[in-house]
Amino acid sequence: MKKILTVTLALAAVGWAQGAMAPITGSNEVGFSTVPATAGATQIITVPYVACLSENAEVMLADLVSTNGLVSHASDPSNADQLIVMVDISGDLRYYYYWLQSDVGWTGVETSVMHPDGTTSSVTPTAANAFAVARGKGFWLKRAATGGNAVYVKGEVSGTTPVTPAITTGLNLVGYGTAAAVNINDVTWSGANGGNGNTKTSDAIMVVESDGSLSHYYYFTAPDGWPAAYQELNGKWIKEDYSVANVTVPAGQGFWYLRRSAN
Amino acid sequence: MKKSISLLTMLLIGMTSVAAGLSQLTLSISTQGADYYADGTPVLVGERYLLVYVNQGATFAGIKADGTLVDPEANKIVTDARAVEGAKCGFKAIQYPPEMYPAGGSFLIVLLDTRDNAGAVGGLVAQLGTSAAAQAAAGDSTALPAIQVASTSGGVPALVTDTISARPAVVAKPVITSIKGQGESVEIKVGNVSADALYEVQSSSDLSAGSWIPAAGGTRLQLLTAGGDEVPATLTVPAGDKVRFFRVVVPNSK
Repeated sequence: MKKILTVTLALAAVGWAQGAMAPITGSNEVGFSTVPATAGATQIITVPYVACLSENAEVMLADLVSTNGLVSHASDPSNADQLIVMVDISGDLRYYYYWLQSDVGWTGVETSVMHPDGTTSSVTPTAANAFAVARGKGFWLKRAATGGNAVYVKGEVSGTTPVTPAITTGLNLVGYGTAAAVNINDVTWSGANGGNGNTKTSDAIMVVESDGSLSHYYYFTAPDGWPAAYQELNGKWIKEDYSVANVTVPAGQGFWYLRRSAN
Repeated sequence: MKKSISLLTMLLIGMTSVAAGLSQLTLSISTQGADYYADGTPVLVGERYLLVYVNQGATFAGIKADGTLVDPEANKIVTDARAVEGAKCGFKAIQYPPEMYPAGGSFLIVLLDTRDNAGAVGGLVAQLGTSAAAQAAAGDSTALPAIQVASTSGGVPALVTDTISARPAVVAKPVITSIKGQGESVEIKVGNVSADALYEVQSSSDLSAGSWIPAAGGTRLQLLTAGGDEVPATLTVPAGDKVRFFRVVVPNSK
């Protein structure tokens, strides 16, 4: 009986010791983000994650966009979901097209490049499983006419901050490279051009809505002497009617940034 | 807590940056099918489609039998694509500088009927059909243009080769150089032919009536597939024919 009591006491001691031990947290976090992507329409996707178990390496395109819920086809790219990526190749803008081929995955399609001298060349996309996409890079998802209304991007949450080139004058396909939704007015946009009070002269953000339409928002800098109501809008993103834009861009969704000035 | 981002360094944001507007635009083309030839046959695999740009304010003037444009000043052939299984235009993606095909003009897809006398694609253009026009994008467009011609329009096939191609500007008059009867068929040869024109043998049983109809086996004759400098044709004549006359015409005369 004494032996049993000893064992019992030992077990109790162990249980007490276990109750006091702190949990062990894993070394990484992974996740997925849902981006609205209407069937038959086009959405802008961005990269909020890095590759899993990669020490913050860029994720491969084939690994980033989950094929769950997407439309594939055995042979016809026009009847499948597509990814279209703008790529800078030695200073030239080129388009990489990929389509979701049944039982194969993201498959590249050659793009014909028309040159002003009448000649034609071609661009062959890097294989999707070898195409590293930088965190925050924006690209298109073109939905087939059939299928669901959402796309999932996935990967590992990064603990580092990537440094990226400046936004230049003109159109930029951008994204917020973290695994969190962003309200554009919760960000301090140092250097944004607010124009002269006219939305036609200010920087603009264009976001694809869940129905596939494009909404425009403008950065506002209140001109001197304008009424107080406009001063309250200073430094905010607004809509065309001069109301404050309350728009949250889901993690994984990108948008256009139109920069009006090089300043 | 408000996050801070500098536009100059753009921490946490990556991008593909381009100059004012876009230096290159993209466009993809395809058709849903099935597309048809005028005789009701579904388009054959390998048949040719054209993407044509029409200048602002201009109209599409058509295609000649040799595949060139009737009006190369106002129309431009951007690229071509091929029919795939399902009697439809296979997917094709292009990119171009915006000033090459400026906004204000339009694009359309043209289906060609290049079947020769034997029914194989790859010959001269006998007929063509066009899609509805799609406006060309501007350089500052944020859209992703795609021309995807539907399978039907108002309940009928959307793309049918219902227009005869234009003949070359100058075509010498063809001449039948020989005729030989072979039972229920007649073999003829046509000379003085041009490489970029289509020829058709017509027959009649009564010269005074002036009623000529295409002779079976004598349509879409062309040097392209015949080789040499004469075009042969084996014509089927009606059983019991006592007399029959033949002539050669350029059917796509305008």
